[in-house]
Amino acid sequence: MAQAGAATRPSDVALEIEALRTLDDLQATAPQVHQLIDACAGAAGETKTADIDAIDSAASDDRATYMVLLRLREGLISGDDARIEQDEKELSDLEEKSQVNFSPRITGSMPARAAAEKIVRLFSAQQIAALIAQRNEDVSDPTEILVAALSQCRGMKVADFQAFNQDVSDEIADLVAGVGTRPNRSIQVRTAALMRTAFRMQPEDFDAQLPDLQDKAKDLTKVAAGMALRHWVQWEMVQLLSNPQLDLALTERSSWGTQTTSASQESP
Amino acid sequence: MNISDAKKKLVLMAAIASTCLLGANLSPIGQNAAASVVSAAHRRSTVSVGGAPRRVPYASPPASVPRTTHLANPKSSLRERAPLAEKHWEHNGWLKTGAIERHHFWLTGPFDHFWHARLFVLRHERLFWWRHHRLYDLYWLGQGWEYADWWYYGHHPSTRPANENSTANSTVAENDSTAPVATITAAAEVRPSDVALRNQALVVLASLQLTDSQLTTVRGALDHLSLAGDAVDSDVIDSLVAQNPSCGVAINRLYRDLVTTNDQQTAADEETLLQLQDKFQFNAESTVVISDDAKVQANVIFDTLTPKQIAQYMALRGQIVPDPVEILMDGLDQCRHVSDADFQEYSRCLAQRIAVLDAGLDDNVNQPIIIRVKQLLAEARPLSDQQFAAQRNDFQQEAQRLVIGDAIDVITHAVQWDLATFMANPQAKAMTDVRARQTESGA
Repeated sequence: MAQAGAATRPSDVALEIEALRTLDDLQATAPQVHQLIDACAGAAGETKTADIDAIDSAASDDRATYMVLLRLREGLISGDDARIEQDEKELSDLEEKSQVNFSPRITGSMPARAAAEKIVRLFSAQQIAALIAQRNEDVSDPTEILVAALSQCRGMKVADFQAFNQDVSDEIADLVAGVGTRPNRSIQVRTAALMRTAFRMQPEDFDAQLPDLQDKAKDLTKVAAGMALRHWVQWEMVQLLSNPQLDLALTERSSWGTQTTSASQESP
Repeated sequence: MNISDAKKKLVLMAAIASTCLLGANLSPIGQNAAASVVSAAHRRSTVSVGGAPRRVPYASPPASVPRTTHLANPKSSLRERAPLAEKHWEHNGWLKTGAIERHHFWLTGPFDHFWHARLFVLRHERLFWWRHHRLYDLYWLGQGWEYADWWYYGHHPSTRPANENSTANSTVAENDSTAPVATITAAAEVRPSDVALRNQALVVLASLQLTDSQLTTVRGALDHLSLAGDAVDSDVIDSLVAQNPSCGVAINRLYRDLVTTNDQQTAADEETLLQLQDKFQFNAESTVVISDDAKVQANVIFDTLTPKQIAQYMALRGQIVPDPVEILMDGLDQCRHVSDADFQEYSRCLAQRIAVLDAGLDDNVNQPIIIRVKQLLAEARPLSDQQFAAQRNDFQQEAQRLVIGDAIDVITHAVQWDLATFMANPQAKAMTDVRARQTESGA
């Protein structure tokens, strides 16, 4: 059952689920939730319109999808692991069926980027290790991303390539140099230039020069694994803080905690 | 500089090299002879490709040496026996296991070539050549094929293991060359604690999900270790298994399924072993003493990993990441109840653990933390329960102040520590060789 004041647009529910997933993976405690409530004020970022539209349209067409989203949100708020697992599986099946990604992309806001390192320090090593373990398949290797992107960009329309190039170079800059108030300019520019070179090549030239391009990509993304992991965690925190539905997720999670605490105190 | 000058310079350098290395006991005539031999050797080791002379990395052996002694793999069974390797050898001098042939055989850098040039002078002596190949066989290919002791310019290297019994313990398996991996079973005569150590090594290898080149790096790093660590609680495991055979069966079964990468069965075996550990109150994971060498090599391995591999490692071995503040607080509480005899060791181990988690494997960096942790433990030790409860918050604040690294630092250091434990594991080399053979055979 959705609680009073809860988000009702499917895309808002999806965003809230994203925030709740991170809080669940981190096993955030009540004091940490309160500190996050303070930190997220004014840190909301923008979401990709295309992703939002796709989610809203998919959930409007299929009532069952919307219900799964609501159930998953409730499960995440209450921390019911069995229920979460079942609903996550259902949502994953729906994603596959409808070809819609129910995790909308969020652009990191500047306040969120500035606060990311401080937020990482809020959590213990065990909590961060749990987050990394839960999302081990999502952990990004900058070299892997850039090498794959060099081939992926081939054959794109110019407008699509520009957006893709921007996203990739921002991500590489953040993963290699860390999350500052904005992506590292030097790495961003060099990544974008390498991508443009790959995009503009004739097919036969590209095939011949691919090993060279890959070597350049490896040089550009050279960073110690521990450091890359640190930057990835910072980026996850930026995503969390920039989530427009984070404040709602935090409020619901903290109020649910209060309800259960008071309920357990009342019980004989 | 023309070609003639270059040749003269080369001959001169070779003469200086041979004089320096062979010592001052050579007469001037001997030096000249050495120079001419080196020069001849240099000519022989030069091949002509398309008219241009090209140095080959090593020269062909003399005709007097039987062909079988200088084949790449003179005995086909040698590689098959690689898992029988015992990696800690006893040396008198500077020689190190696995590195020996790199130092004075034809390998990587100019320094090695320099040494090689000198060996070239000596290679005409059949006995020397034979022994040298013996070295190559033992260290590079076989690693423990048989023992050899000899004299080498004032040094007395030996391939004898520090503990000869450990060779018997290393008889891992019934190793059929036609089915080298699938038929591996724990031999009955192997000590349970050694099988447990193998399990530890195999779990780490499985969790790292190494690529072929990374596995080669790990093998190289293990070759460079001078000594493996000792497992301090082997006797505890052995005696417990002697009293409760079901524990031994569980350890052996886990080993068999780990070696054959039977993942589903491995999970069930681990569960069974955990239940037995709870029931009999023991820990099947031995504590291995970690040497400085192992720490250095652990960092080498860590540097080759990708962030994804570390994340996967976390997913499978997340339990290796503790909270240093929590450990310290528990330690401050518990140290009040250990005996005086145990306190020193308890204090040393806890201080090292906290320091590594906080500041990494570098002893120079973490020394101040070790000192401070020991001070805190010494302060807490005489306190009664009431006094400790009263001062708990102060200790907590002090512990938090002491832990300067953030969560990612602690995770990184915990993984490095786990890798150092793996590197020090006396069974790591044999298990890595097993994995390598599996990879080669496509199993």
